[in-house]
Order: sequence, then structure tokens, then C-alpha cells
Amino acid sequence: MSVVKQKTGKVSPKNGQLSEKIGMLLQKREISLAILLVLFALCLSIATPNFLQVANFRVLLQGMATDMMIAIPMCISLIAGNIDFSGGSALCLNGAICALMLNQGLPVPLAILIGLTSGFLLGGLNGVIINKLGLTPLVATMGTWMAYRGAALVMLGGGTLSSFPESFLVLGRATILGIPVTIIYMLVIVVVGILVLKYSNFFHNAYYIGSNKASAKLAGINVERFTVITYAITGTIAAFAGIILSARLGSCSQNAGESLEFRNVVALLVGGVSMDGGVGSVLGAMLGVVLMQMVGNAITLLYLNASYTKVINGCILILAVGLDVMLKKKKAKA
Amino acid sequence: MENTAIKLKSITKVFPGVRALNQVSFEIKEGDVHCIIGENGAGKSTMIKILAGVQGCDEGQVELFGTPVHFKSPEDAKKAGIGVVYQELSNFMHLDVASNLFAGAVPTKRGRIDYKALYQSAREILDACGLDYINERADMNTLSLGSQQMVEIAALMHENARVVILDEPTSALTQVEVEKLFELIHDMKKKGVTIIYISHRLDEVVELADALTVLKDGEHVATMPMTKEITKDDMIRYMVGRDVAYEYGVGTSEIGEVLMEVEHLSSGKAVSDISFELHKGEILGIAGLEGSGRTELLETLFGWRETTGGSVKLHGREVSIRNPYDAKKNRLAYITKERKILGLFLNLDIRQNIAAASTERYVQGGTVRYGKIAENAKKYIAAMSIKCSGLAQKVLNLSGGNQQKVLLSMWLSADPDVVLIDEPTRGVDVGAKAEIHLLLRDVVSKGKAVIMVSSEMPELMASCDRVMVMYEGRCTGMLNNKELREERLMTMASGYTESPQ
Repeated sequence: MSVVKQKTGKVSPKNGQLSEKIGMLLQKREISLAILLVLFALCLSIATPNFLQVANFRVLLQGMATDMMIAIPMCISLIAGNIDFSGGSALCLNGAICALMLNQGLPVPLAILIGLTSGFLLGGLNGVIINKLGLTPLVATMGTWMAYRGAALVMLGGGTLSSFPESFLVLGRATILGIPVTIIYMLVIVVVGILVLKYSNFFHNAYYIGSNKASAKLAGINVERFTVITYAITGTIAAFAGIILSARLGSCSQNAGESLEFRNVVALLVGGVSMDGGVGSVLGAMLGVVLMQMVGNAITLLYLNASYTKVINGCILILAVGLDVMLKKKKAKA
Repeated sequence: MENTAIKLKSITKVFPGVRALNQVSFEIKEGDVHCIIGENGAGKSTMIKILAGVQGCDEGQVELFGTPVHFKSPEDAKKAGIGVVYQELSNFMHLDVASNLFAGAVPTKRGRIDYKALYQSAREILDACGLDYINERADMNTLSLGSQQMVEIAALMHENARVVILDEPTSALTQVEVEKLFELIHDMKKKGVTIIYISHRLDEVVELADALTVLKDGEHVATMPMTKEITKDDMIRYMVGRDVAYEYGVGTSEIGEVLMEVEHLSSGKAVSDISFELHKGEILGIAGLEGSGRTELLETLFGWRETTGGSVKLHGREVSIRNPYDAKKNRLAYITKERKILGLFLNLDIRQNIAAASTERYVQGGTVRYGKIAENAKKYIAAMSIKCSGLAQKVLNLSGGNQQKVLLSMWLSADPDVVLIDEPTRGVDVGAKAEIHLLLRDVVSKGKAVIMVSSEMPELMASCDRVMVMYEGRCTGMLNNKELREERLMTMASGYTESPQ
């Protein structure tokens, strides 16, 4: 909704070309958001000396890794008009399945494989429900969001699972060239996400499906298959994030991934993905997640009450989307 | 080229309670422009849906180039070479033109989307269709409706569609765009494409058709080659089954005192310095091309658009109308041209729709009297002869003409003095058209007044006491009914002001 592609460079008048170009650039959500982030970082570095520290950046990036990994497939899904609320619960449930398998003494690769497979299937189930029962994505994934969280609570019996083998823990704790491996996972997923959305025909179809589902079907795009596969990918990546989180923390808690889905939906909307589909980019989604995390980071660094995070995130959402609607109205009137 | 492109053999389609198509058989020759006409409810849309694979038929057989076909989905029909441009366009409006042209078949190179090839071939396709003015990188939703339609047609040409169905393609186009469309149709014909053209505008049928099929109430009336001998009156007789008056009662209502005075009214660039008087008992037409400020003038009068200058007097008293609420208080009514989007409540029933603009009238002693709402609705259903299954029918399921009558009833229930109406008969069939015009005449004969915007010159000439012509927001002329000639209106609508003579 927000990425207004203005490619009329040839016809734009000569007078005031520069200001017009700047205006166009600012209408691109990715650019305005990046500028906002830089300003925010500048303010923070002035407000507290603790911000511009390598240690803080490590904390910030590691903290956002879980959200970010899941946000990327969620973004592709939402561009096609398929919102996914089940990500946080899928993370917890599949992490728990993997943890249970480990505690049963299964070899590490097999336990992980089982966790990822259940993530794939439970994620794909969202798509099947939407296709076969005809539910809207919102209702379908609200249902699985609640059910998966409940199933995880049952499995964990109200407690946490721990005492995993060392060969498992290293998957979340190792560093490569001094960079924590979780940050590397995150970067890989972001880069792959950007590339497939732009260059892979299958994923690029998200724009067609989100813009006009019926026409996309008519154009011979297999919308149902796309829906199942993208939900399955979100489920798999959520499972992966859950497994890695268990490895990094050394335990699997029933609160893992709590309210991640809401944070991510807000991040996507702030990042310029339209709730109705058809518009958005992985880059925007990524910047949205970064903004959400930086707000949390700022609150910690400034010793504020952590409960303010949600208030601020809520305000950001309303401001960002509200500004968008206002700009569009103004454009429509002009 | 005398091959048969499409052969329909006793096609029957039954919906609960309605026989939409009954034993319809006819042939369409390859390379022809075959026009299909008929009133709303004649079965045209059902026939398109069957040809396009949206619906199956209950009985009968469709043959495409000599082979029997059974389309189970729109994809099947598309693969067989049938392309449809629907009245409500169905493109990807968030995406750019090139992406629309290549929907579902984006060029790839080594498994990657080849953007260079995408834009280059899009450019070539557009140029080949003579659409050099459309930028392949422009987002679809920044184009005019006409241009969007051209892109949809270009996409069909690119997909090598052998049969192209155009459903009411000109209902939202400007004159220039219509000409462009006709050029494109002639181009397609040269390439041997068969075109099925559905339109209410009989002038277009006369201009384009090689052959003509008339449907009425689901029955096939006639299929014939189009010759010079076939006149519009003949077509109307076939469609309606009787002669329809092309005379909507101009001069039958008494023109009374001045009801509304508009002086130097402006709204930004869209409406500039418009002045006129409107009398009781008068229908004032507003002619002009799309974008000439006709609709914007009505919007300004109704407070939907900001007034930036000038004044409006009602009953000799100056009024300030800043929003539709003010307008309604001053007893104005506004019926927009987009009745489905802006006007009707499609998911509500007839009763609720008719009551929507006059809800305060049905309150007695602080509570809503549903009996009164039903009573009022019944009165209008009878007075306007709205064809429906009952008060509880959803407006969504009514035909275009009946929807328009419901909308008219809604506003007349509010008892307005001045009715502003935009394209009163867009998407309405010939029979209902006459009824709507006679209803409007009936409204003004009770001492009210109507301001009517229309793109159809014959409609204006047959129904308006006076016509004001607009061009680029300005008034370029005011003509009495007796002075109305189509050429004169066109000249003024193109911006030439006649010297007062």
C-alpha cells in the first residue's frame, strides 16, 4: 500500500525536479524508514554511551534474529494477502517437539529433522485449512495460533525442558569469525528472501496473488499450491528458529515466541507491506523488524519500564499506517 | 474466411427460479465482430460466463472451431483461446503495466526472472497495439480506466487469443478512448481474431458489427448479418419486443420559478466559474467529455468537494453547503454514477436501501417503526415497478436498471427539491432507460428540479429542457432543447464557445 512506485521520470517537469525526486524517494517506505532508523540511532547514541558498543549491537542483532527469520516468509505470505498469526506458537510447539525428542535420547540430526518436518506440516496445515474449508487467513491462523500454543503447553507440562547434548547447543552458540551463528542464520534468510521474491517466478507470484486473487488464478498461477507452500515455509522457519532458540538458551520454555506474531505483523505493516496484499518488500519488512527491536533496546538502555515497549510499538503502527493513508488521500485529491 | 468460430447448440442454463438461457443456438463466424444485444436479464452475462468457463451449462453444447468443448474453469477457456475483458476490470492494479501483460508467464532466464526482457517485450507489445502513450513501467492504478482496458486487451493479443469477448467495453470510456478502442478492434479483426461485443450503445453496434444476435428473456430472438437496412429502431424492437418511445416528455412539465441560482461556483481547477439558474419543473442536462468537470460540479454542489469560490442560492436564499449532510438538510439529493460503490448498500435488502436517506422519517415516539419503512418501500416498488422477489431481496441481486430505481427511491423518499444525478442510465437496458427518464420527468412535474450529467448525447437531447456544456471545468454553452444537435454539443464539448448569435 505504501510503496508508491513513481517511474515517470521522463515526463516530470524540469522545474523543481530535485525536490520532486526527493518527494518520490520519501514516498518509498524503505527509504523513509531507513532515514528514520538512522535518526533514531543518532539520538540514541547521543542519549547514552552504551548504544554504540559492539556488545550492544551483538545483543540487538541476536535478539532480533528469531523475529527476523520468521518475518521474512511471513512477509512473502502477506504480500500474497495471506496473513500468518501462527508463527510464534509454531516456534514454541516445534521447538518443544525437537526438545522432547532430544530428551528421549534421539540423535541430534534426527531430532532436528523431526522438529523441522512437523514445522513444515503444521505450517502447511494453515494453507490446507484456508484452501479446503474456505476460511480467511486471519481466522485460520488465529485458530492454529491458539491451538499450537496450547499443544506446546501440554507437551511441556507447564515447565521447561533442558539438559540438551553439547552437540546440539553448539548450533545456537557457535561463532564464525567472531560473529554469533544466529546472526549468520538471520542474514542468510534475509538475503535468500530478497533474492527469491525478486528473481524466482514462484515467489514473485505473491504480488499477482495479493493484487487480485481471481485474476491470478485466471492467469494460470496455482494459488492454492502457493498458499500451502508459503505457509509451510513459514512453519519450517519458525520451527528452525525455535530449535535454534532452545540451543542458544539451553532450554525450551513454554513462553518461547510469545507475542512474536503480533510484533512481526506490526513490523511488516510499518515496513510497508499492505494488509490487503499486493504491496511490500522483504527489505521493508526487515527494516520494520529492526525498528521494533531498536525500540526495545532503547528502553533497556535508558532504564525505562519495559512495559512502555508495547505502547510505543502501538503508536508507531498507528502513525506509520495513518501517515500512509493520509499521503494517499492527498495524492488522490491532487 | 467463412469458418465458424463458435457454435452454440441449444444451450440451457437454469438458476433457482429463473431460466437464464433457454435452448439458445446460434453461430459466430471467424473474424467477425459479432455484437450481442438484449435488455438486462436477457441472458447476455450468463452466455459470456458459459463461454468463458466461469459457469457450465445445464444442457446443450458449445463448439469452438468445430470441436466440442467443455470448460470446467476460466483457465480451460483461456487455454482454448477465449479471452474476456469484463466490464468490471480485473487486472493487477498494484503492479506495473509490464507485469500485467505477462501475468503468470513472466520471462525467465536460467530460472531467474528476466526484468530486462520483461520491460522490453512489454514495450514491443504496447507499440504493436498502437498504445505508444502507455508507459510499460507505470503502475496500473495510475492509468485511466480506458488505458487499463487497452492493457487488458493487449494482454489478450499477446496471449494469442482467437476469440475476444468485450463486455460493455465503452461504458466508462471517454470519446477519445472509444475511438482508440475501435481502432484496436479493427486491428484485431485484421489479424483474424473473432470478437464478441456486448453493448447497450446501439450506435456502436451500427458502427462495428458484422453480425448481430439479439437475446430476450433467455431466448434467442435473431442472429443476422449486419446490413445498412437494420436501424436502431429495428434493434430496439427486437430487444424489447415493442416500440420504445425515444421521447421522454420534454416540455410536458410546467417550468416554474427559479429554484436554484449558482453564481461563479468554483472548486479548485476542476470546476471554474460556473453560473446557471435552475427552475422548478426543469431537467437541466450537463454535457461534456469525461474529465470536463461534470461530475465534479455535482460533487461541489452536494458538498462532497470543497467549494473554493462563488455562491449557491436555493429559493432565493444563499446557502452554505460544506458537506453532504448540509446538502441533505437543504433538500438536495445526489445519485452518483457509481451506484454500486457509492450509493447503494449492496448487501442490505431493498427495504433498508430505500429507507437509508430518510431514516428520521420512520421514527415515532423515539423508536423506529419498521412497518412504516416497509410501507414506504412498497409504495416505491409499486410506483417505479421495481422487479424483485420481495422487500427482503438483497439489492446485490437486482439488475442494473432495478438497482438504479432503488437508488432513486432512496433519495425520493427524502423528498428533495433538487435531484443531482450522474449517468442515470449507465449499464441500464433500453426498456428500463425509458422508464427511468419518465420517472425523472414525473419528479420535476411536481415542482422539483433535476440536474443530470450524461455522456450520451441522444439521452440528453431526449430528456432535458436545457443542456449546459462543460469543457475543462468551464461552461462553454447553454442550449435549449430545440437548439440541441449532436454536432453542436460535440463542438462545445471540445472547447469551442459559440459566438452569441
